Amino acid sequence: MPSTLLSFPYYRSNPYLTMLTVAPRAAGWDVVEGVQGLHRLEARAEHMGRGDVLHVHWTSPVTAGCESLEDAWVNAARFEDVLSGLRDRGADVLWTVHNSIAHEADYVDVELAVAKALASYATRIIQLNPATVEETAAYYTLPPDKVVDLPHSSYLGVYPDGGDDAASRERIGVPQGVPTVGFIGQIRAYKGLDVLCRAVEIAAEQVPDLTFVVAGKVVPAADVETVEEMLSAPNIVKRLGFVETADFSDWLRASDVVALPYRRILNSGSLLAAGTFGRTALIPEDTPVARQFADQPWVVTYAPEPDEPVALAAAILEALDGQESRHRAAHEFTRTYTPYDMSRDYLRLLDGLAGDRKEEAR
Amino acid sequence: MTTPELSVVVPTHDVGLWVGELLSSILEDQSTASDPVDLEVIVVDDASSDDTFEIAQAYAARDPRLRVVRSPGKGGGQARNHGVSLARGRFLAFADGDDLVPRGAYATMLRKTRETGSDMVVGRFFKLFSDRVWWPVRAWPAFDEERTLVRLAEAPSALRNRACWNRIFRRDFWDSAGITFPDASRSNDIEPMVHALTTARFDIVTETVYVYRDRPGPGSMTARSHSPAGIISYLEQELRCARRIVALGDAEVRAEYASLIFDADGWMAIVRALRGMSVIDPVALEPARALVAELVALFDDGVVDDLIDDLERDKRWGWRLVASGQWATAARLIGDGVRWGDRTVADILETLQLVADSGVVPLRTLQRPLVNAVASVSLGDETLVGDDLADLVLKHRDLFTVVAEAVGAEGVPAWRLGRIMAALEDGPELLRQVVSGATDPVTATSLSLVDGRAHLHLAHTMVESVRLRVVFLHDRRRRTLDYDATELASGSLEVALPTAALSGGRWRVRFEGRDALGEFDGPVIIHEDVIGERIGDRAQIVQLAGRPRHGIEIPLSFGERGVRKARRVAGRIVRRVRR
Repeated sequence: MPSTLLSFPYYRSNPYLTMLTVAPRAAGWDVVEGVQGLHRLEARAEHMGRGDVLHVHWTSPVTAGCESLEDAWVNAARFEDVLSGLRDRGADVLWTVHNSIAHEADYVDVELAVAKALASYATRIIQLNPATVEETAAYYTLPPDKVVDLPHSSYLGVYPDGGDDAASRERIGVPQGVPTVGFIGQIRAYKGLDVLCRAVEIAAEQVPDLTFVVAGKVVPAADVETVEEMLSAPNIVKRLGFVETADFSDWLRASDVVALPYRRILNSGSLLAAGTFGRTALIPEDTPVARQFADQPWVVTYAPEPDEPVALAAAILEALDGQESRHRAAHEFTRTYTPYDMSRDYLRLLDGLAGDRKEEAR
Repeated sequence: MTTPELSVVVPTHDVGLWVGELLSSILEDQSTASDPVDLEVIVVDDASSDDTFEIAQAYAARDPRLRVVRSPGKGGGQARNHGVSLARGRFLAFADGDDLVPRGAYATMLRKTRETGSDMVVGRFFKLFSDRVWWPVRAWPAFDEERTLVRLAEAPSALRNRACWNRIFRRDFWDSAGITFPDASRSNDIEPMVHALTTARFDIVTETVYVYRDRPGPGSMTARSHSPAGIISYLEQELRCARRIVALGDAEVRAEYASLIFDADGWMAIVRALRGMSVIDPVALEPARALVAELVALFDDGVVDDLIDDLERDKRWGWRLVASGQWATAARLIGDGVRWGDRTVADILETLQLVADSGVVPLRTLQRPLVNAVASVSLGDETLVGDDLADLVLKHRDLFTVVAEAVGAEGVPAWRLGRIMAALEDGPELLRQVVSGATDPVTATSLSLVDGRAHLHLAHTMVESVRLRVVFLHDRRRRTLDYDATELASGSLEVALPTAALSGGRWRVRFEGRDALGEFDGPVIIHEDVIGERIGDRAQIVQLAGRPRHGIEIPLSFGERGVRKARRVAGRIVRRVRR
């Protein structure tokens, strides 16, 4: 019987989870797909035991749909039962700390309790960012002996890509030759789209044909009108909806620079996606991600204080210059840690769990 | 220079993004201390215009087991053959420059053939897309368990897998069988692999030995960049495969192959080609027609005829159209990937007209899609306004007539088609009346759950009504309400049924009746926009799976649940006793 590897939640059409699990699948792990909610997790986890692994990626599904704090605590307790049950039956629990705390968490105390339970029950805790232990210390303690590194790879060769910027612009309707700044991916309140809109306005005073390229699903959907209004200027090419995997490279290739004005994150797949397509990425300084990537020539940082839109506008103008050398640097960086490198490291980590069990048995 | 046990031939063409990962997976992941693999890798670059060659060369500078050469010829087939000519190993493997070889894959296959002395070892693989994986092997019984020294006749479904990369070959077998890759622009490995499969004694291992990267082009809209040359090249190779299969003379292998071509790979190749062409040029496609006709003729001993008749509609019609060179009609039938039910009625009727005109499709088989277009597809077709549907039926009057005649020659047409024909004979006014209910004489105008009753308002387009019965149905239970001509005179009626009269479960509503145009019966279509109050005292209105139709759900009472559970348990016991 092959061992079960249950990623939770497993979102279909997720390139990160797909590329992560290639080597384990090929090595014979039965990768369970499609478990997204607590109820299905409970049902599936019941059948898991020694040799099986639950890998928790994101904790937001634990309290998703809860209408009261009480409900949220009940769900957190159920989740903890899943973890303790698995460990009792000899299964392993992995936890990748993608964020200090789930974005837009409705029940912060509950989220923290869930994180603490994971810290306690996890066999290994995977950090994407080397400063994860310090960055999360204000919220919860990660036992250092459990923490292992498994950085997020580039997306080299993952997305369908024609490798032709002009063709990409043509497909999505961005005029050839105009400088562009892009914002690609889910549009959520914490991502600072409002700041970026203002920054584009300011930058456009100096670069009149500056075009703003925006693509992504608005979450929650109720915010669509607000976002539409925010993006009503004439120099904007937008698609407010899920960006199909097949179209993803077109949106990035149509953006000369990609702005990622997020603050509360430990890791950014979008940053690595931008680099994969040779784009210059703009990120606020003094964040965990900035500390990890600021020395990369293709990453431009800006000071969000005292006036973020002005600083971001200046960074956009700076980034639009000297793209060629940054482009090359991004390409080189992209090859230093590829998706299959990450997947093989992941498989070695899973192998290590089995090794540990053998040690324990002696 | 010592002779390696295994030579891996890697043809490359513009795979700079992936070739580093592939080489690393072969050179770094195959040997372990306990299971060493002595291998060499020969990269044969086929005129790459990117940095593939340089990346491979840089790798070779670090690892003497890797040799990088330029292909003296053109195309993947010639590159592979050149690689084989340079290979020194006792065993031979192939890998494409953009794929991955899982850890220990070659060790597993080598171990197997060392034990068995087989000519070839095949293993599982999966396809890797950007955001998902797919395991085609899971559908092929040959790969269910490890197999030793089998012939194709003992594992016919191994034929479903005609790629050269998830296997190793004994070199002396490869040479003595005289296997070479053809100089073909498409599918250049299917014929050599059919050659190997029909000649070798082979093993199958259940380990995953290859990851094939599926790389569609960018953009969710399909680029129309296919030329007739691609499909012609594929069909040429397929014909060579077919000849080998026929020559083998095994009935099961032959049937497996016929199903593979006419139901799966071959059909998909035609679909992709037609969808990918910006212009359908029957003259340029004539060689493809001739190849299809030859392919069909090779199996024309009653086997294929039956097989094609058993295929689903599009394939059944499609092969006949393609074999007769009616490519444009085939392309129209296949469409752009829009489900038949999501097309417009106008498009469907035009397409069916072309299919009927082709002269190669039995007209009686058009009845079902024709009636379905008018009675069902029309309900979701937002392009239809006013009398458009009746006008479309009038426009295609000849189509309806020839189909009804063809059906009539062998039996009785379906009642919906019968009503349309009767109305067409009478004149446009009656036709409009009949078609206004999308040929259903009874339609729902509202449904609400109020005061413990289901209130269902029905409108009818019956002609000189005789009688109507409204039937509430759940499993084999029926609750019926009968109406006579007087009650039907106004053109509408209200049905009010106490929900207490319905036991637990999902109840559907049907009609059965008779009028001047004959007998009829069918489901009452209840559209989303006619539903009022959905939740009642002990009932709710629910959508029935996959149709623009609703039903009334009554939750099971405690007593009923108990009875059902008891029935299930009893059923299990009976089954166990029978075993």
